[in-house]
Amino acid sequence: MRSLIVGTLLLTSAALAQIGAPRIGYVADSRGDLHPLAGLAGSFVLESAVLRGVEGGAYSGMAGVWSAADRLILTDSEGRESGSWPIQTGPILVAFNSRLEPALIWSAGSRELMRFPKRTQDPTPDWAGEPIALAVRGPRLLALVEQEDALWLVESSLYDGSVVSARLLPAAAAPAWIGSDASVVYSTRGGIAAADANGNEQWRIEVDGVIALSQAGTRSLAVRAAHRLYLLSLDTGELLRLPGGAQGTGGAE
Amino acid sequence: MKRLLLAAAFLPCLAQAQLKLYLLTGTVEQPAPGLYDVGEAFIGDVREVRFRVRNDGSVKQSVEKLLVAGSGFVIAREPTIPYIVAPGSLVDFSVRFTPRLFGSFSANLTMNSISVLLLGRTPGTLTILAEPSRALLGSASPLDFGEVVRNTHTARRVTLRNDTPAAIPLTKVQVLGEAFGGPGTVPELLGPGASTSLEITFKPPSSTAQEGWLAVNERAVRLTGMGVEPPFPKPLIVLDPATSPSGTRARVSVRFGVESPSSGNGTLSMEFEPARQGAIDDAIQFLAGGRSIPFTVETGQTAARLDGATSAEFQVGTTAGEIVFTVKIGMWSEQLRVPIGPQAVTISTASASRSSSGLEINIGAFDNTQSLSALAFTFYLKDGTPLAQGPVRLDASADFRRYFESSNLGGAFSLRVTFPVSGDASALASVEVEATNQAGPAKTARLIF
Repeated sequence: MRSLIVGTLLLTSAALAQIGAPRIGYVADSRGDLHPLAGLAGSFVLESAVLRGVEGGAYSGMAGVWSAADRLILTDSEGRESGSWPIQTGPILVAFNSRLEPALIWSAGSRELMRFPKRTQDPTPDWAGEPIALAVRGPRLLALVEQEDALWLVESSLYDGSVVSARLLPAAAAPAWIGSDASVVYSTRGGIAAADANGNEQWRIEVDGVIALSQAGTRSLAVRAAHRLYLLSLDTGELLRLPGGAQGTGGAE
Repeated sequence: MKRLLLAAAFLPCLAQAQLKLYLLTGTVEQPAPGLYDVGEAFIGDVREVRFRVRNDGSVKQSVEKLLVAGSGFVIAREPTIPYIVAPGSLVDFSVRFTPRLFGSFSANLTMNSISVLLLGRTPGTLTILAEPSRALLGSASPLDFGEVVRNTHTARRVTLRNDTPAAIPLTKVQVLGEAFGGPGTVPELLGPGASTSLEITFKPPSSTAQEGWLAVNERAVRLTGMGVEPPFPKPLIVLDPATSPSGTRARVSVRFGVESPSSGNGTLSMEFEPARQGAIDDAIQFLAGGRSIPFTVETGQTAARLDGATSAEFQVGTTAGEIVFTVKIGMWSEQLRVPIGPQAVTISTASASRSSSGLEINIGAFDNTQSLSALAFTFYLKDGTPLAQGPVRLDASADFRRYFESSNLGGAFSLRVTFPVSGDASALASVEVEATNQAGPAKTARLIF
């Protein structure tokens, strides 16, 4: 066995090294210009805009979905437009699948749940409130739903939209984000906090006036707060201010 | 004198056929007389008379000669001679009567072959002089006090001199204007040839332009001055921490050794001088955005406010070299050079995975020397022993050099290395990656597949 491995690894002279710029994701500023975010933690650069007029959206690390006026725009990992469709004006929510492709998009303007890539209409679950974040986990749709001042995690069937469960997230408030593993990041009275799938708080960070949370990369969120734009690492819970982000809006409202 | 005046009255008859000289009063033109009395002007004042040269002919004409000969008169706003006047076109100029002595004055204005005798005189008033320059003061020559720190004062002396043959009573000598004071005691009468000296003070109450008047009998001299803020103390650029390695953030503040006596604005800017010529690192910037940040200083404070706080955060970047901070406020321009020393490769993120075609290693790192040359991969079996063949080495110096030469992200890079595996690689448990640059080697922890 060992000789096989050694023999195998003797082939590694054919190893392929690819060197490139470390790209984190995409962030939209307050003017609606979508910028690639490059660099390493602590050494960020917001590069020249690749898309303008963006009002909201999210980036998975592989693909981005953005709303701009009355259009829904898909972008690839290079920020290039890969598709565009008419859409009713209003915020959108995006859920990505495990391959980081857009799976479901909620249009608040038309109150439709669209399944991608075919853009067929999915049954809308009876959320009994306003959805503010979506994720897909297997055959289930996870939604953070705002009901009056409370935030609920509502799980529904992707097949027929029937609600399977609903759990109150105590002390959680909008804006919020949910991952496909049902972990959540939500606003608190003095900042933001994260909880695992069981609702156990993982960390809490003080930050003034959180306005929006949106997915900016594979494992990062753009956090827009009063006069500041931050990048939140979902792995470390580290919140780092982005340079020039005073006017930023993050990926989505 | 009568003969001269008579001759002058006939001079306009010698005018050229098409080029004519007019006297302008407002917008009204009248043919220039052979003799024109501009009237009285105080010593030090100016009386201006406007003339117009008009070409009423059908061919172009040239102003070849334009001059005024005589004491107390000068030509102003004149065209460059020779000056071509197209048919139907015109050109204006002025003559200023600026008497510097008491008396009557005359001068000849000549335009080509047209002449006008100009007369002027000064009334029997005092000559007003600024000290120590002895410059004449008048309606067109104000007494300027320059820049003076607000709420402090300065003084200038003014001489009143009687150049006339008769005694002149000083019926009114008065200083007007909030910021100006004086003139103290003055005599009631100045005899012929006599003079007296006044002191006028200037104490601006605010940091703005100030205006006042010195009234002497029927004359008025404008007083001007600018109130300014007290000078700022020497600013100091302070870093926290004092030294910062690449890949970190630090805070910079602008402080003063003593409380600032005034309020104002300044700028703090940063420039980067890379150790490797041509290296670009756009990450080196203030978090407020860009490489220049405005700040404000309030009276009584010892620290400036930048980006809404007493310090501003900035990114050190990922390139060796020097960051040069420059603070500018008031007359000050101070610099602080912050060396960013060479470092071994710093690995921020690293992961290893298996794929259908082999092994994949992903690294996010920076090499602030931009000299990364060698990569070594040491594979470990499940029992923790390294593969007997030793590390797999890659010479990536050329690839890294090309990358760094085209990157604007300083020494930051992402590296993806794939190892094709034709057999069962599941016995491989982990890998260590070593990257070497001119500062030495750096190694990852063991990355688990």
